[in-house]
Amino acid sequence: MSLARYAVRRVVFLVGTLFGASVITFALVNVLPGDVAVMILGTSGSQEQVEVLRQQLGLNQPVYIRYLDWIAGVLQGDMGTSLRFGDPVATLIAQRFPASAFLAFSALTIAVLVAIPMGIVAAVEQNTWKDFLTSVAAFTGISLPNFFWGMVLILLIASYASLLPPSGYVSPTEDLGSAFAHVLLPAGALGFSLMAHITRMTRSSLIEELRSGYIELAKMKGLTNRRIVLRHALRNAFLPVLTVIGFQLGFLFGGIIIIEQLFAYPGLGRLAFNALLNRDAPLIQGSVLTIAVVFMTSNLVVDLLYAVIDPRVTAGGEG
Amino acid sequence: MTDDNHFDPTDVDRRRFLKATGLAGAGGMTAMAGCAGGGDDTEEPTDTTGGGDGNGDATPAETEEPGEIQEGGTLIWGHSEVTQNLDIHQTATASTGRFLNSVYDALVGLTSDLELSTDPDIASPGLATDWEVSDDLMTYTFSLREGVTFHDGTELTAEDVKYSYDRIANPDTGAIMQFVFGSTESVEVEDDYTVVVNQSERYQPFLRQLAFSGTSIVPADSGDTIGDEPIGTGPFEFVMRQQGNRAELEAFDDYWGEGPYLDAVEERTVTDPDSRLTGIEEGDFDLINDIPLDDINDVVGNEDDDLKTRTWSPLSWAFLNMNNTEPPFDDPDFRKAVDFCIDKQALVEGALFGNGEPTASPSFPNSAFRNSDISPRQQDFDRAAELFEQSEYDVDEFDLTFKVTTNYPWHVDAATIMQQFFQQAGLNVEIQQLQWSDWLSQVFANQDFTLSMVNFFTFWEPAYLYTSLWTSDGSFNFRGYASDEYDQAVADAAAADGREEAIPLYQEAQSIIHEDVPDVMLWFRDGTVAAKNNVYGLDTVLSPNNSELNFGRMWMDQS
Amino acid sequence: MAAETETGSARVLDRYQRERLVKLARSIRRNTKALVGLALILGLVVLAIVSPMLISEQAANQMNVQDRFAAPSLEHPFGTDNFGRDMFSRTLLGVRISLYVGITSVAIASSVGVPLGGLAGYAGGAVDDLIMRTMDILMSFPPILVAMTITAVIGPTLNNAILALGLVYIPYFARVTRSEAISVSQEEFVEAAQALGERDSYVLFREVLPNAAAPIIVQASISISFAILAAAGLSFLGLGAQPPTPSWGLMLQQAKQYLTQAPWMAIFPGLGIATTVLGFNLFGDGIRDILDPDANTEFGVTDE
Repeated sequence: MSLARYAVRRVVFLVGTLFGASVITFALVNVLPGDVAVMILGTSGSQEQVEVLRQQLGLNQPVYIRYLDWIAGVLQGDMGTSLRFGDPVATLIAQRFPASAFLAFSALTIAVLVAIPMGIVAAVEQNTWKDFLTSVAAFTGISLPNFFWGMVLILLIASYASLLPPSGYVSPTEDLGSAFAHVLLPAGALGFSLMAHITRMTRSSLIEELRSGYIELAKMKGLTNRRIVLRHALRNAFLPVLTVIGFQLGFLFGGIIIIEQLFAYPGLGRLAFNALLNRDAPLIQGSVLTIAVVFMTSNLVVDLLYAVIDPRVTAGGEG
Repeated sequence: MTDDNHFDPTDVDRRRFLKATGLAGAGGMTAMAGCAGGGDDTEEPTDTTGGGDGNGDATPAETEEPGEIQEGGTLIWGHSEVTQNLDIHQTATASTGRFLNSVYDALVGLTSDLELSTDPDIASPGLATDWEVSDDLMTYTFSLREGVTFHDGTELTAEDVKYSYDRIANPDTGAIMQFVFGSTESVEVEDDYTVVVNQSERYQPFLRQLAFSGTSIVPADSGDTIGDEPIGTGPFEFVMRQQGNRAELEAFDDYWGEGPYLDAVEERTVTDPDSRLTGIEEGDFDLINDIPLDDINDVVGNEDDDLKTRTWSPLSWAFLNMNNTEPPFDDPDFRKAVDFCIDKQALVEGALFGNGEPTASPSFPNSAFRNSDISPRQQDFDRAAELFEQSEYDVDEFDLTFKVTTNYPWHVDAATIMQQFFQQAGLNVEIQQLQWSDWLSQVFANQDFTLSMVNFFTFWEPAYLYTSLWTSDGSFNFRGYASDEYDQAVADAAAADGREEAIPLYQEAQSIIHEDVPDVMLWFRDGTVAAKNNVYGLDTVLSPNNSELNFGRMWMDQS
Repeated sequence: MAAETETGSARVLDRYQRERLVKLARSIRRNTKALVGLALILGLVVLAIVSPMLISEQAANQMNVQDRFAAPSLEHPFGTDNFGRDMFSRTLLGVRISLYVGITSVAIASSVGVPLGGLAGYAGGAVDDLIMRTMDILMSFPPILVAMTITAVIGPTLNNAILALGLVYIPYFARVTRSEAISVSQEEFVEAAQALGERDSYVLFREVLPNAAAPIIVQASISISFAILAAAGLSFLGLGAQPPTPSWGLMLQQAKQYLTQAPWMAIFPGLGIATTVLGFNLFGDGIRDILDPDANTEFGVTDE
């Protein structure tokens, strides 16, 4: 199967899965207990006011009509209006999305920048104290929830050392320095387990590559150790690292929800979580679906990258 | 009211509070709905700046250095909550009101002593320069301030007032203050600066309720846009809001009154209390509201700190809710036994870090209506055991669920402590944390609970407080308490000829609920704000409606 | 965990299958990772059994506000929390809750996911498509997001959080089992059983699944560690265990408010989580190494 056909097939699957995801999202949200009308009116609403509001919000229509209305709107870019905020869901999501993307991207960058050198050192100096330390760090990294790391960072870097702000968000288009200062702690916390996984994966795949025949060949050809590692082995070890990243996306996205909560970071995860707390159905639907779309698209991109690098994947035909 | 989603905190400092309650006694000032009595009916507009109003000037407090007011600068405010719907008529949240108060004006002005006034130089000045009320309370004629401009450049006229009131009265708007106009027949424009409101029936609290920020004046025909782009007549105009993150207000150059002095106010939403405190200590913010409970003692009165603070009491009043309509809490002895199980001082220490005090009555400590003969029951497990014995139920026959909302983390702490007390008395209680929305729908709306707790804000006015919370058909009587004796006392008080006659009746009502124990009264909680030392006018920021902030008279020393 | 699965399924194993598992057990002894993991798990199981005997829940909930935020000392080795409760007792009691959460949710996930995946792999065709496409849809959300939503729907209790996590991890078991079932189905003994005219259900449950057990054990062990982390996250958000339950996630939630005053409120529950998760991770990893010495594996990630 050609790469193009593989890509098309994957995209078709993606669309189908997303359709299923939209049904699930809608179903989940619409069996949520808790009445948003009561919620909006707080303790000030009379029974009649609640009824009027329910009517206004269209909460009295049958579920399937509401689904069709919703999905028709979504396809036209209209995700409805947040019951709680009174703003269009699409606008709210558009406001929050860059913040989350910035956070996820920073986490990924930090993780890769720290992990790959650590993995290389561990592999090249296998079974030394450096290797041992890397292993310990990696195992610690994956064994603790990322919000724990977040708390540690807040305590050590924001509270004790007062180096970085403990919460908030500044857009990188506004003030790049301040933006990085604000994103470093949450991105670090988020990147911890990712870092651990990438370190271990880099190490083990590099060790394998170093053992394999062509490295010996390269050595015989008189290439320096440093060049061998960087040029040959690392490039071949990239594939498993990509796998880790693909595999970890779910945790990255899940982690974002909790980390944004911890750092009061105004991203998509926090929007979704607060929508859930507020029983804000259109906003839950919109943000959860958006997260699913981004999550699946990222998965797809990783898979396609994988296919580009390793042609065996398309030949295998696994959807 | 109970929450962040409605009227919310009583932002009154101690000094102002004393005056407020003193006057509440004298005039029975009602800023709340549905109040049927306890006050004189015809308020004459006052136009004096004398004595009572300590709020007009920007540098009044003994704790602040008096100095030359400096103009300019951006004040960065670390705000405790997320602002919601920006439509001033629709928004039900205190957080939004706290933010929009600097943008809007209501028709009727309110002094910090909770007195209605047309004086422009008061804490919450109104847009009316005069009003006449007919003797039968059926016709209200308002004269408007001239030369007032909206932020969009148009001039305020009677049409805008008529539009605003018609909009609030229209049920389709979903205005929170719709009830204010429940007895209004029509709003008529007499000329550009005169508006007449005709009532269909007598509704005594009407005038006072026109001081609610929920009845603020918006430009005619702006209903479709003010949710996105609020336009008012206040000292600051709305610039932008990135929901849940930050918002900006800019000084309005054509503001009709004195000020504003600041160039801009930037709101940063920082719901995490510790982040707010760290932020102001590190200089990220100039002002924050709500210092974390466990840090208040360190921050307040700490001379070394670069911060100044204001603390006031009470911010709110909390009570344990027992479902009076179901076993075992349909038995007064059982309820009273529960009261004896609870060490209220330990709760204040454990959950509030001492920042509050136990109370047996929800009336403010210095209110003339407060019954000072009753006091919180001391913890006494022997008495509790006797009363459990005396009740028609056995203490160990129930597995009770205590529903508590995580909206107030210290309520979860209080529930955790009480659970231990109950266990000591042999009562099995399991805690269930609920999100605020679930709490509202389960406990408040559907009365699906056995044990719960909640707090209320702004209940300084006795008629509204005692009517809505404990009369059989009270709008906040979600515990289902029903006592003919109590209903009668409150009805009599509402119908009394004057304040002096009403006082003993409200005190009697307090005695009745103290004996019947429909709820266990827990505490008054303190409120706080903190600002950097170069911020002035801190005493003017708290609005007399006990909930909102107004930055119009604040300034910063930028040297 | 592994021991339980082995004895639990011993009835349905024939001699050949049993021998394979015995061989696996022997090689565990030679694999450091698996051995350390197993030791940690066993240690925790012992703690989970013993500590409730020594420390009553009542003692762990005993408050003493005067003694709040006490630093670790002889009297309180792990310090005290904001209510003055002894963190040592609470952390120890947390072991049992953590294991309960991890093991129960994975039991739920595997009891649904394994048969489904086995069926998909064994039956193939339309059944396979239907099952696996459904699993794909379930996997199109980050797990914690779904768990969060489900818990919000059915109510925030520890057991509901376990149920939600159980549901969320079903597809992972279905996937592993399916690919294993596909390869096992092509083996001679399965074909032989089919030729003998055995019912499909018999072949699936007696021949295919037992021979796919080892990778499932690996998946289970690793999933337990994920489930423990996820449950801690849910409790941290207020959607899991309820106070005063001594759950580590809940303790971290409470510790968050008092980080500067009492960091020990976070450190010890954190160590608890770390030890447990590490144990199951190492064990799962080790077993995978044994099953497939050539594979390039780290922490549940296979280089396919």
